[in-house]
Amino acid sequence: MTSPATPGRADSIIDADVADLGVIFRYLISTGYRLALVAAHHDLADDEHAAASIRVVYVMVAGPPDTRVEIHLRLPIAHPVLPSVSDVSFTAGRFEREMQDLFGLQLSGHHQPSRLVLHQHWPEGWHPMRHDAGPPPPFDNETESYPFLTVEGPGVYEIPVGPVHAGIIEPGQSRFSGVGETILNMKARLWFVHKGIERLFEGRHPDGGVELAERVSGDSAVGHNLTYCLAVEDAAACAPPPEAQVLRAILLELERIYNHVTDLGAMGNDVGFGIAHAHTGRIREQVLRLNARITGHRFLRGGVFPGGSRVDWLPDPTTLHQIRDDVHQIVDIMMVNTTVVDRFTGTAVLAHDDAAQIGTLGYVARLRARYRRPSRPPLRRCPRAPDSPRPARWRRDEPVQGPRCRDRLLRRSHRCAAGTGAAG
Amino acid sequence: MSPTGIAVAVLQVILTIAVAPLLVGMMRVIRARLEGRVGAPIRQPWRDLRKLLRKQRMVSQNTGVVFSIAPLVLLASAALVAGIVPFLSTTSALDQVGDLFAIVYLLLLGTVFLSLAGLDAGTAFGGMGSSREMTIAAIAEPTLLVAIFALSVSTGSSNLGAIVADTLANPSKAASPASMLAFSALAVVTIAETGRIPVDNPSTHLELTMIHEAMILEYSGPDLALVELAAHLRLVVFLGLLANLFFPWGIATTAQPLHLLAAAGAVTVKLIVLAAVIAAAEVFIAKVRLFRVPELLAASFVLAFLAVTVSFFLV
Repeated sequence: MTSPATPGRADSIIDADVADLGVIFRYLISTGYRLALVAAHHDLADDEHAAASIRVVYVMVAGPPDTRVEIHLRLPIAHPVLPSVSDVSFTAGRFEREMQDLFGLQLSGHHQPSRLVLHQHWPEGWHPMRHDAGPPPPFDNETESYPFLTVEGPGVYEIPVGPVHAGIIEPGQSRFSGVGETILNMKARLWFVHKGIERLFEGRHPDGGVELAERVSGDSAVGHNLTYCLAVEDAAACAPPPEAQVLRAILLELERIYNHVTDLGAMGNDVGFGIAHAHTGRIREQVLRLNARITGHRFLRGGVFPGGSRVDWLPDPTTLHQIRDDVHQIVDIMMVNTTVVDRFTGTAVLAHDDAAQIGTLGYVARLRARYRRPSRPPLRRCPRAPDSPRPARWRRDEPVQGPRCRDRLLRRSHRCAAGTGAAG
Repeated sequence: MSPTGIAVAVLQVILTIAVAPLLVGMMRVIRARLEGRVGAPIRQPWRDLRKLLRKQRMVSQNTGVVFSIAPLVLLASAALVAGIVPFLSTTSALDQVGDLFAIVYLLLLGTVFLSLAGLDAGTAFGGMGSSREMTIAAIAEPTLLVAIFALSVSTGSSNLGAIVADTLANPSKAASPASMLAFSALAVVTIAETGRIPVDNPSTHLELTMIHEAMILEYSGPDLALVELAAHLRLVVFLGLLANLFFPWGIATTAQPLHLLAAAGAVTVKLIVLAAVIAAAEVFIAKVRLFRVPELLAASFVLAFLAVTVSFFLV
């Protein structure tokens, strides 16, 4: 079983054969495991392993209780053919295509084996994650076009949105096919900014990886960095002291709160309810200023490092209570407004099966799990179709649960700080 | 057409053009303050127009003549309506030729040209915006026509100056059921035609939810300045119609400079009050779904139709 000292360790590792992979994978899926990650690595030839190979690792998780199983697979570098499991798992299909682009795996039995991460203008046969890849070659001018599904018929038109957007979001192109106001199909093309971060990590000192991990995505500096630090600690078989784990939980909470507050306002702004946006902007700024005092950076950079975590200062719980009350008030203003509720109700309903298929994570996954529970009474204010105002309400509830949990953590950490000094 | 009448019409156009961007700026400030923001100063729309006018004119190669003349037609029609509508005096020079039908279809002319311009560039967003604008215009224009027609029934004339003068002479007319129903209908049309919340969101960056903004996405520089100014003008024209058709007090019945000055003050106050009410209301409502907009407009058409019916039975 997993010991608390090494939270990342797998419970069991299966060394699979190419022929067995499908059977093992299907068995695990059928017993309630879900795919968390498929990662590949180019192993060079050494004395123990006869030849160079591409190692593919499938991480499968289930719970509660949390269990983690890894399937390890070695493919010969000369002829790396990976049997696809995309018919069982949509998410696996995406990972497989990524590995196809980056490692040069050949997929067998994939229903849609087109390129994913490296767009069509990258020349064929250059796989950047291989050790012998070399510098990026010049782009191809003769490019195949992206295989958008074309919808044909009288009155059908296509609207390309993006890849450069009016808001500050990452690039991505959505192609809508519609007749009048009815959308028949939407295809999103992403991965415009593949930054090659994995290769940038190579050869860095473990501490030097922190600055990179914190910059993978601006608004989840703690999340990405914590994942990186856990991986380093897992590899080094060492665990941070409990005080550091408490501080990490606090930092994660703070990061979650400013993101939820921002998104709440964005939801209001998107339906033309600007007052919600204006006030969540104000609250977000308050939280960011708290963050700046806590770790010295508005996005909480520098709080977590391999082996520990540090803060300069911790806020008073009453400050956080005020923020919670503020958020509450804004959500209440939104959710008693019939025009806002009307826009949220029935918009972007995510069916439970789809959520499981896509492999949603985080609050979306938890929202679906919660939705399934029959014991929870339906919301009073939207009796018609309770699906859709939920995300807004859930986002309200999230920061609410956050401070409560954080209060406990803060009390604990103040006790810890009394013993060990504030910098965890 | 007397020289003083022409002077009044010209004065109206100049005054409207000067006031329109300021009124829009004021609406933005009111909204910002109510939302807890500072907001841009009131003269910001004028600054934006000046900035746009200084820029180079850029036109897509795929556009035709409609795209080029649409801003001019839009602005000219709006300016002409601003000259006809009795803002300052019931004895406007153009009033003899411009009755309610002329006004409604001059406004529609601008709408149609802008929609054609949206199609002309051949972009998906422009076509989508034009399609939506036409859906709205198809219900909004008859509502506008019928609502003003309800007022003209009791006057016995479709001349706007005559309608206003009649209301001035018989103040009880302003509180008649027909007048109130027509006012409600016209208020909804004003919001729909000027692209305000809840029908359209003028400050959105989401291309897929746009109506007016989607049509003008291809415009830039001086062309965009003309389109924006015309949009501001149309807002003032609609608000001015609402103000003077239903609350005509303060308007001059002669063309004497002193009376005109007082009338200018009166109409400005009325415009400010109406604009402030709309801006404040926008804070508390979200944009409705596009599919709900025809329902809203159909309801306003029913109100306008009732106004006409009532005006025949209850004089």
